[in-house]
Amino acid sequence: MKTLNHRASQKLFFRATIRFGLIVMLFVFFLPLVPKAHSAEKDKEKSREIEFFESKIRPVLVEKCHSCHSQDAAKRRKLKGKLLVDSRAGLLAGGESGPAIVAGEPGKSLLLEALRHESIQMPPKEKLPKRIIDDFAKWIAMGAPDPRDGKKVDLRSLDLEAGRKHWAFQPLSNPLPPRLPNDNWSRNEIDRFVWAKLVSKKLKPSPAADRRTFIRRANFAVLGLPPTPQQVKEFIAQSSDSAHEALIDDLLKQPQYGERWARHWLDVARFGESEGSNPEEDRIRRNAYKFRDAVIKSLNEDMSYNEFVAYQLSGRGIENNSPLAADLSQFVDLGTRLQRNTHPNDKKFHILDDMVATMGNAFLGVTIGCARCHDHKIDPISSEEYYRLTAVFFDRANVSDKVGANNIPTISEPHVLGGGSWQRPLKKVDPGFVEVLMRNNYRSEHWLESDKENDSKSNKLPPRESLAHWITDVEKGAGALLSRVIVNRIWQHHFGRGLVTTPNDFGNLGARPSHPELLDWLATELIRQDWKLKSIHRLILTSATFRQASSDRWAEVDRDNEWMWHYRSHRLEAESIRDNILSVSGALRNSMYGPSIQIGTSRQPYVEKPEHWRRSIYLSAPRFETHPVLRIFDPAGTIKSQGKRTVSTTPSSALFMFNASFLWGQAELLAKRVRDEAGDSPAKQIELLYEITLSRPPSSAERDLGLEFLSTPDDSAENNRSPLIQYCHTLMCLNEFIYVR
Amino acid sequence: MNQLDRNSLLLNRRQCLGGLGLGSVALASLLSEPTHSIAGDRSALAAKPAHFVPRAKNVIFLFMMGGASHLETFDNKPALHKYSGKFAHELFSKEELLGFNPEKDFSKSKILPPVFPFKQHGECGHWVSDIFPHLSTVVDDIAMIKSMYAASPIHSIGQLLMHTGYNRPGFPSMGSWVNYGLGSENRNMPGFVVLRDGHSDNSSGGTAMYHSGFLPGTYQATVVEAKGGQPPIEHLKRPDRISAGQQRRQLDLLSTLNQLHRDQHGTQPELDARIDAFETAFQMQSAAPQLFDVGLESATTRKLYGETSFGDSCLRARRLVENGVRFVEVFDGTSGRRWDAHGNRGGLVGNHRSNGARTDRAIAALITDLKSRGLLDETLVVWATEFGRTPFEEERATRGKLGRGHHHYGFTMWMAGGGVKGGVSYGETDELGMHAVKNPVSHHDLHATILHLLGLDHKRLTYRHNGRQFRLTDVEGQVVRELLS
Repeated sequence: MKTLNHRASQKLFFRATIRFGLIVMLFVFFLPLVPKAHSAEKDKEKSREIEFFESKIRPVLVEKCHSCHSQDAAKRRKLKGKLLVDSRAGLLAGGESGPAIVAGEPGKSLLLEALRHESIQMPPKEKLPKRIIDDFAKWIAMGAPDPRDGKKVDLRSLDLEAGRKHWAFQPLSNPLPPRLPNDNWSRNEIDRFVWAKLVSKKLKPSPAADRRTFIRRANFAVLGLPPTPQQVKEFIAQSSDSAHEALIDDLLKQPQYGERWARHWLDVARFGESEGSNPEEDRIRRNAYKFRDAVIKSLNEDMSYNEFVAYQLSGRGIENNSPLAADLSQFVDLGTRLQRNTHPNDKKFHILDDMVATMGNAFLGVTIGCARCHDHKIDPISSEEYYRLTAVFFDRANVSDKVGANNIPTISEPHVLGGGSWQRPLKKVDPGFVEVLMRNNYRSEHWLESDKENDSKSNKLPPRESLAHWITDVEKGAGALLSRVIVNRIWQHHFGRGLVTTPNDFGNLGARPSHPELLDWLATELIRQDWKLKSIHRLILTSATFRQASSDRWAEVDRDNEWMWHYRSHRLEAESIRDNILSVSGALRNSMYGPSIQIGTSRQPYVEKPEHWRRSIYLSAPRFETHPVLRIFDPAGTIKSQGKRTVSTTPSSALFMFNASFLWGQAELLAKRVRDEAGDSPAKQIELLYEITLSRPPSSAERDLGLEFLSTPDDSAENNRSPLIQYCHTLMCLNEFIYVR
Repeated sequence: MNQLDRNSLLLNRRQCLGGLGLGSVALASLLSEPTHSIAGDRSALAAKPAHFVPRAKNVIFLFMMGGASHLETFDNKPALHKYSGKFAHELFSKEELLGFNPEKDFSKSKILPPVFPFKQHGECGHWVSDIFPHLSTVVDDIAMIKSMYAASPIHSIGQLLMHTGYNRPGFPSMGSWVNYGLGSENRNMPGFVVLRDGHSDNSSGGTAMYHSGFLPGTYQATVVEAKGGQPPIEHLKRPDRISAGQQRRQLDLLSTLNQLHRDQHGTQPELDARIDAFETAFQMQSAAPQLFDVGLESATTRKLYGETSFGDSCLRARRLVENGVRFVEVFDGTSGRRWDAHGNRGGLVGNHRSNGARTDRAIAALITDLKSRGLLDETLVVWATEFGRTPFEEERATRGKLGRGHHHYGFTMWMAGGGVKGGVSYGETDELGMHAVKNPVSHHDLHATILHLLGLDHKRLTYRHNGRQFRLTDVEGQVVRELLS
């Protein structure tokens, strides 16, 4: 029975390209009998055997196997199948498929089977001559004599050493911005990195965008709202070159900056305002909005990012204390819960997993959550480290600890769980952090222990405070990565594409940075500027890179604009689309903060009211409902940290634009606004409408089309929408209205 | 068929309009014909030739979300009775038992015999359990694949694998690939429609299953949530105060202005997709209500499908493919009603009994109906799920109900119509239904076979992205020729 099943699984594993399956032993060897001998003879015999190993076996191992199966390979992260053949202990212990040799028993030695290309095929691309394979059989039959040092190798430390070589886990390289002789384009350090890359790719930057394009782009980037016609007029009237800088400085002071960028952070923080356990009874979290408000305020006052992170993880700052601390500390608890009738242990570990996984994705761009059931397959994060992190949050994951009906007790202390199952607690663990993100032999204990000398009784810090210290520690802890991840997020939202295109995964499965030096320079700069995010915004927004025009040669050159040779047009996010519509119609109310605007439930459908016409960040975000306008344009999920929105283009969204009463209502308001401001002249109406909706005057072709449309008499009943309302509606449907360029 | 051609098509379109010199009157009159689409038939959506003669034109993909048990549906394993009550670890190794849903432990699980009686049906003698009395009558049209296997026992991953071939979000769905390869024969409807019934389940593959990934957004699925009483597609109805003529005029203006912008500033695929989307949306307003209106069917036909929500979805699927929609997915598995038969709620018995009852009549009706209309030959019907269920009961001592765990080593799916040999049974699991041992079929193989039936070579249907060519089948997949008629 068992054999049959093993063979079946073997077949499957091979299909799934898993090399090392479970092996069925098929061949039995008849061994030459080793004669018993006296001690002197024995020594002689022994040296003959060693000689045999040295001449026939070792050279083959070195030449054919070491590249994938040695400590050296492990250091290069090339180790395959966790098998080391560069020591006797390694061969005897074997790798993922079990022991490679059984001394004295060639028939039970996997190594031979592999050499014969029977089940596993090794070396993979060449079968060694029979003569050599026979030598191996003979050698194993002798008892596999092997003089090499027999110590067991600690693969974990090799793994960590190798893991630290991954670009994202290295210290910041603090590169100097390149200065190339022919560079007459750069405005700041960012540009010098970009320029150097463009030169190396034989590309040229695009010319600067005109001022109208620039102010519109910058407004959406910083505030998520279009500039008013008046603001555009003032900006283009200025002749000084410092106008751009002045504009950026002014934009970054607007309170709408916080509203815009808090929304980006809420995506990352898997912000939702209900428990998300069950669509039928989704309990609302009445105070979640306070987290949202605290994020807006923190960003507007330009709180240092390391403090911002520390407050969210622990409620305490690194050096400062902020009245926002308590509200920010909701971060840890924002995740979903399991249904009421679930086993308390399931509930607890669901919460812990949410906390650990979100912490990893949001702050470090590391998929720690993958280590819940086994050591991370790709990144050097062990299951034990995962559970040490659950220990950090353990007291925060409160569930009623009613013992289950089957008398499985609740897990009241942090444990490593076998296969992620609380039914298999393996061993108790203390709080700890991710080792690959520690330097100079520092261990978790360094941050866990308080450095305050007069802290007489206990020298332990609360674990979440220690976590905050470790995660923001640039020299010894994870601070370098923390900084890389946040500057990449900022870059991504300004350009529609990150320097690393997988913002939540900087690990080995994630993308590599397009401009690694620039990323490191920005990360270093952020730290130099006391972690002030606005300093990075300012650098980016005043760069020549950001000022480039969009090019129409996208298909021929660098489709995804990886090398930043122009400004690639990208669609606004759901919230900005709605805010934009409300803004141009004049309906947008600028009141800030407070409890969220309720958006209805499946039982009580949403009814829109003018008092709801506030920025979309104030719309309630329960986990099973989405505001009907936002729903159309790929809003963020609320279950897991999300670094990047999808952009879908379907007839459904076009149908929304055509027929939704929301858009028609706003078109009516826009038409009224235009009549009020421009009077009855169609030409003036068109002029003003273009300024309001697209921040530019119409071209003559556009004007003519508009005049023609407005002059056509109504072809049906008088109850119909006026041509002006229809025209306003059409302009809000334009690609240009929702794509920034 | 290659990417370059596709790009030059897009560029041609632009050049075509750009070359007119933009006299507004000329443009307006060119565009004022009510049925003329600015995108024209040169667009990415136009029908395109297949690689070779297709056996099927359209696909109806019936997806049973949650993991339908092969042991309670089509894979009859009487031997399980013999081993009933034995511990799983007596028959299977520790490693094998670790491979299942990671949050569960199977070390103390006991073998659980099939909970429903099986009988052979039709001339072919397919085994079917008694939860599918209607389906049993059409088995001679069905080719069983009893040796499916997948790479993950996790719902979201399994669902992504079955839909996109990859285990993580971001890759195009099969329906998107098919539309990319073949285009649409109905310009008034999207070529890829997913019919769902109510709430989506947040824990699973989600919208990533129907996404066009790196393919142009035009190929993305239009997901239709058929909530009771509401129109099947949101915002489908034109507001009362706009006439059809006015809307057409508005659309013409919109398209012309978008084109002007395009000519001046260049374009990107997503902008073109949006121009196409408006055109399709406009046409959908008149086409879709009819296509979705099952009231237009005879009482006999409606009765045949059972007049249930799932039945109506199957009937709509037939109406859609009949009208040239290339790929229709009927997604069965709304919240609380998926095939995920653990030992909670109704347990395995209650779950599969009620899921069977909900879907049996409608699926049988779909095959019968397609056949009687001569459509079965050109319509490939696929019954799919993300994985099967374990031969043993999962350990869940907290409840008194039987349940099975997630099981991806071996399970059953089937196909009918569109070039498939009816009555065939392909592949086998072992005596206990644990592993696919004879002729195992992966999701890549399944995808390769579906594409093949549509006249597409899965190795040639490629799209260049991030510096390399991508396929639905990645670097794997073999057409299962034994299934072809």
